[in-house]
Amino acid sequence: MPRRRPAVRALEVGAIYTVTAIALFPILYLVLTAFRPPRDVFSVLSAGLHFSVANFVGAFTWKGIRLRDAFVNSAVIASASTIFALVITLPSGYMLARYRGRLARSWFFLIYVVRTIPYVSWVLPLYLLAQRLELYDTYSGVIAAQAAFHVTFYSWIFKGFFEGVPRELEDAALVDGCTRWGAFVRVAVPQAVPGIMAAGILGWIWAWNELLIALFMTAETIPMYSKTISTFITEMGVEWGRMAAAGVTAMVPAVIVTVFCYRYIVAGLGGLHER
Amino acid sequence: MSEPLAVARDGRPAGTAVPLRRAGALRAWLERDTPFQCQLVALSFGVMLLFQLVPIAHGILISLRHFSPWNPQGDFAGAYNYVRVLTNPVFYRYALPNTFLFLVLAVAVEVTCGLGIALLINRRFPGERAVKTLLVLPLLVAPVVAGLMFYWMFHADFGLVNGILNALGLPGVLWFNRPWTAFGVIVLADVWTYTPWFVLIIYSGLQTLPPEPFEAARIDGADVWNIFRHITLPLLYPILSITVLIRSFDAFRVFDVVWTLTGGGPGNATETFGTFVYRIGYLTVNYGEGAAAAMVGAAIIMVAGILVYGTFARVVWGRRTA
Amino acid sequence: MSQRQGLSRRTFLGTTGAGLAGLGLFSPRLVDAQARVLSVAYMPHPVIQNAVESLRKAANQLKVDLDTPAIAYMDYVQSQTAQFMGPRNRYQIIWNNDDWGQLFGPFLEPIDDVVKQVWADDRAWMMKYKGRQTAAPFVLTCGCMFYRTDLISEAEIPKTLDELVEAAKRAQGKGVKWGIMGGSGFPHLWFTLLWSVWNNNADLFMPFGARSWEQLDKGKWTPGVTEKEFVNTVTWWWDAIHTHKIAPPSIAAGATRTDTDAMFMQGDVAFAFQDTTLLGTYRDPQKSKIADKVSLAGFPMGPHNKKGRIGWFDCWFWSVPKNNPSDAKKTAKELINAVIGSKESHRDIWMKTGGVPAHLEVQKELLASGDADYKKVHAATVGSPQPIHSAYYWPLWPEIHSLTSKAFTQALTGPRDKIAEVMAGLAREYRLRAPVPPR
Repeated sequence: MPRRRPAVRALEVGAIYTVTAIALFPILYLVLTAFRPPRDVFSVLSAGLHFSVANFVGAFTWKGIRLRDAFVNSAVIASASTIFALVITLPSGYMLARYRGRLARSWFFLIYVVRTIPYVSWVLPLYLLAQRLELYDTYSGVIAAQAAFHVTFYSWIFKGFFEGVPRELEDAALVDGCTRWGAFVRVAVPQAVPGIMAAGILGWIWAWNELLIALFMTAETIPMYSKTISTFITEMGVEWGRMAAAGVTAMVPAVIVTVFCYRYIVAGLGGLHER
Repeated sequence: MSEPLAVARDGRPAGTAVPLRRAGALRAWLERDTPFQCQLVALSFGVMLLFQLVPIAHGILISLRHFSPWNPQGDFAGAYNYVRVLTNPVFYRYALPNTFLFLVLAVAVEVTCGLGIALLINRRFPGERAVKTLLVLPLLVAPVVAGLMFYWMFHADFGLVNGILNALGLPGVLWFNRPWTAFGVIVLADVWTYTPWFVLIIYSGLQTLPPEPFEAARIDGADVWNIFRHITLPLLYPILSITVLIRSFDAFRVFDVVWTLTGGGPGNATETFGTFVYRIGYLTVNYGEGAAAAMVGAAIIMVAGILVYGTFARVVWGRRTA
Repeated sequence: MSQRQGLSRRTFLGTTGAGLAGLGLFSPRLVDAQARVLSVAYMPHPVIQNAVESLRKAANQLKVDLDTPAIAYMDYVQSQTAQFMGPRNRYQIIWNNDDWGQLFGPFLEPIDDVVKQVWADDRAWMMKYKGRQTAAPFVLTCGCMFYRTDLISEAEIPKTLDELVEAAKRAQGKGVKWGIMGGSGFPHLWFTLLWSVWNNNADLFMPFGARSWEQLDKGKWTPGVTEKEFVNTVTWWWDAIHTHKIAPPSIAAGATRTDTDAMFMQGDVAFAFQDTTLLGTYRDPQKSKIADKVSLAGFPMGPHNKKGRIGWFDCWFWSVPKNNPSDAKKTAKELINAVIGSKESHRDIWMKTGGVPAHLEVQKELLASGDADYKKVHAATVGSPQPIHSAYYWPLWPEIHSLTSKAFTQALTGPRDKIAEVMAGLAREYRLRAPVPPR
């Protein structure tokens, strides 16, 4: 790193801290709101030192909302859908990395075009279809639907990774008698682990917060936190205190994952760049 | 017994004979290029087919019928629903232009800020681990919660922002009463949420840039700005362009943030494609017309996507030689 | 390099296939609706939750199990209509709103063979399909005007819009920030525009008071928003915000009921227009800073009002969807009859949540019992000289509500002399969107 004049450096570091403060500020506001007593939820800054966990208690004991089950389900479904998405897109990315023919280019074009289409255009018909196929309100339905969404982005991430993996190793495996699949799974995939981790973590966080698919593919058998939080918006107004409490609780797993895996995310995403 | 395989440029083994322990005809065929490629994408294609392509087709069919709870048989309507959508002034005067304006503004600001912040944090400084993690936090908040958070922060009476303005001796602003300020808050909420996404991707990209060009430039005495313009940016171009594209597609269908902040108001001033489809399709459960509205939007963004596909493909497939 | 064939394509596909199959096996299937387990669909609102509790008590006595997950208000209508159009409904008892009676009607099981009518017919006629009753009410929801007893005395309660302006100004003189507050966005329009136009002899569609599909058809869907009484009322609101400054500008941006609750409970408003069911919340010291200073009254009248003060009190109902097995439907109807017929459950709703009972005899008993609060609520709502319905009973009403709310906010944020023009634009949109496409 080149030596910088101390004044410039101080300015830069100051800018960094300012930006961080701006990013954090609304979240701190949310956390503060969650911990205020219900009557002070709208005068969050002027309530002095009054704190309370009433909002959390209220959110979690609200009959019929089943917030705790919703969190558990969201965690399970996010994990499963991420794993499933990784499984189906790893080969896809590999294909795009290793082949340049018409088939590969067509596949790429297809997943690109499908990715441009907004949610709303297929979510309601998906619901009607899922009902008919008895996939509605099943774990497999919502897991597969969420995984479908990742096909484009993950394929592109893994394409980048696999392009950085030298072919020689796979060819050697093929020579040694491995099948193509064998070469793929035993040789190529282990090289892409950083990419897998990055995609997996980001995908998990997306699935955790995902609302529309959860809404349309599940009903009361499978409460999920994202749509359950929306139930806090009632006709009679928003239970803002409880919503803040639920929102803060929801951030905890995502924050923990990010804190511990930041390095892997960066390393994994960097593979996008491998040329 | 095995023989060394000649390897063609695209990785296909020369010749068709692949030495396997049991060389059944089917297995041999499955090892060939095209069948193997198909196997690789079979699962993703299947899932995409079932959960996206078929529903979209079904949606198109619905949009061609009078389909609604008071008309569940759904007699054929032809272009009726499409005509109603396209001639709806809210659609062409507000929803569509607003959506594109939002898209351009939000993504432009996000890219610029993301780039700036990524470059800033790409150095050693005290507390860097904490800062880098904290910067990702806005991405982790549920969109509905984030929307409401900004609503209360910019509330004319209870809002923090007006509170701060008042403390500084300035009058409070009626953020949601004027189209432009309301729009600004919506853009701000989106920028706050998604700039970290750009920061993350660009920062990751910066980590993998080769050091040689930078060394050379420094030796030549180039200043920071020129290094940025002529070395950093071009090297980041592939990652940047793709992230911008994908984020743009997502920005087109923005809904949560707009609905919780303004509901499309005041009047129709902040109406977007997402709120428009919600209003037609879900509020009135007029499925046929809702599907038509959704399809029109899908067609528009798809066409836009295809128009820029050339750039995207060139970037992703690259001008690789190996 | 290992010589093993190892993880071949076959193993890969096999594992994935097994994994998928495992997911499929573990995924819970639709529980066959047995006659003794009923699912109830509703939105998480204190009044409805109380009613669900009453359902549960009655269900225990009938040896029936209830499954009661809550559905977000935002999704309720589309989720129910999607259920109606499927082969089998997940729910055997559903919350039904007067707004939706004509929309849901064709999909509901007639209940008049089992459920005895204990309610007023004029509040439930919109829930009839082909002459058969499809819903039974468990509560009346009514709008009213809450006020601060420390700022306004009984004698000063305004009876007209002009008196309201004076009373508001006087209250502001005593230090409260705003005089009046109500919701104006979607779906909160009742608490600003709607109560005032109805009390001013104006209506969204002509003739005044047309509510059913037939009546609106007969009126040829003529918009009433360009009539002078309507425009005058909108102008009154414009003046309230910009001229007299008794109403906060957030109304002009599209305020919600939460805004009203927040401002009133923080002590910033003298008159708040809201549902009577908020009485309990406003008086809860855990939530409200003015808990001991709250009372309510009926709406003030506008200058063009001819027949007396307007009040609305519309029901929330229980209904039974048709696409259910017949024994489940029978049990559901018996359960509904048990709970609607029970005076105790109606009284409980009033005592615990402030909802007005739909049971006519319970209303009489409460009036006679000397409950001062009930007397006030009754007078402000059920006892209004001119009862009206608060919704238009045909499927595109939500969209019309939304369009009207938008035009209202547009008029309030624009110049005063453009109000008539904005209303003319709204009339054009009405013509574009109503009547409903071919049925």
